[in-house]
This record gives sequence, structure tokens and C-alpha cells, in this order.
Amino acid sequence: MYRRISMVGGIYVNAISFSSLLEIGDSKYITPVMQALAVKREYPLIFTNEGSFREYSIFSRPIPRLPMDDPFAMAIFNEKPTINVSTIRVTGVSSSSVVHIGSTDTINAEARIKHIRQLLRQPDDEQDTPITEEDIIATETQPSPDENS
Amino acid sequence: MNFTVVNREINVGHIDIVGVSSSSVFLVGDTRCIMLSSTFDTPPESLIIGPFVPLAAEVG
Repeated sequence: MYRRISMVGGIYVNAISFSSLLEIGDSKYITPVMQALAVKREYPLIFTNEGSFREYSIFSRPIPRLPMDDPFAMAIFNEKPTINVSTIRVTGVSSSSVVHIGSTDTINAEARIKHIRQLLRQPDDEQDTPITEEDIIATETQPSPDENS
Repeated sequence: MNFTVVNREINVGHIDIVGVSSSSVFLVGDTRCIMLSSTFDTPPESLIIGPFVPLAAEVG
């Protein structure tokens, strides 16, 4: 297929993270996949071996796809051989995203994010008592996560 | 069905983007097929109030 040439004078990208991509040039297939457990804690206590994607159905449930069962004839006429952009500035590219200068064929990106927030007490609880070590560390085990979510 | 596309001249000055996030694409060029999917789960059960308990670790 005849493709146009992308002419970009300058590009500045500040940050790329979490299975994202900055591609300069043509490509055929790009398939970034990203899974994340986004845990926010009132007390910043984090263990490195925590968390299992298998515990949460959001990481395994199928994503519905639009069926492409209606074939059609497509004709493209490129009157100019170039796409011209003088300057680009992108602050952040994150979570299975793509910044692409040039032509591609297929991009199939997927991002799955599960948010979990852990607070030490209710917002309307007595706020005068200081947080003790017993408030932070529990002895009993956590109930299994609700799979109905 | 017949689908005809005529790409005329395109000249863009400056593009300023704050963020491209959660399975998104910023493309300067041509493409044939793009499929982007993003799932984002924050149910009420994901708010845990009480003493800190580590999340279940990966088994095996």
C-alpha cells in the first residue's frame, strides 16, 4: 500500500513509561500490553512480593471486539506525498500508549488497571488520637478479594 | 461497499500534548487498523479501611 512520508521538524517527549513506545519510522505491528495494580495507602508501607493478577477478574476477562465481517473496497488517493508537522511536544506517554512518527499497519494496545485504596480509618472517625503501630499492622489475614467486582 | 479517501495537503504548526495514556495512540502518519482497549476497575470493595494487610502474593 502506498504510504505518505511524515515530516516532523522537531519532537520533545519528556517521559515514556509502562509498556509505551515512541516510534520514529514505519512499522508493521505494534501490540503493547500493560497490567497494573495501582495501590494507594494512607500509610506508605509497601512489600515487594505483594499482589497477584490472578486474584482479580479484571486481568483475565475477555475484552469484546467489534466484528469486522463486512468486507469493503477502500481506495486512497494521496494528493501530497508528505504529512508536515513543524514541532511536537509531549509531556508524558504511559500505560500501553504509542507516539508514532511514520506509517504503520496495525496497532493493538491493551491496558488493564485495578485500583485499590487502603485507609487506616473512616474519614469521620475521631481524628485526635494519633495513629499507633497497631493501627498500621494487622495480625489477621485479609479476606479474599471479591470476584463479583 | 466502496469507500474512497482523498488525502489533500496537510501542514500543522505546533502540537502540544500533556499526556497519552491508558492504551492511546498519537500518530503522525497513515495506518490501516487500530484497536485500543483499556479496562479500569475501582469498585467500592477496592476501598479497604482498617489496619494494613498486605495483598495476596503471587503463588508459585
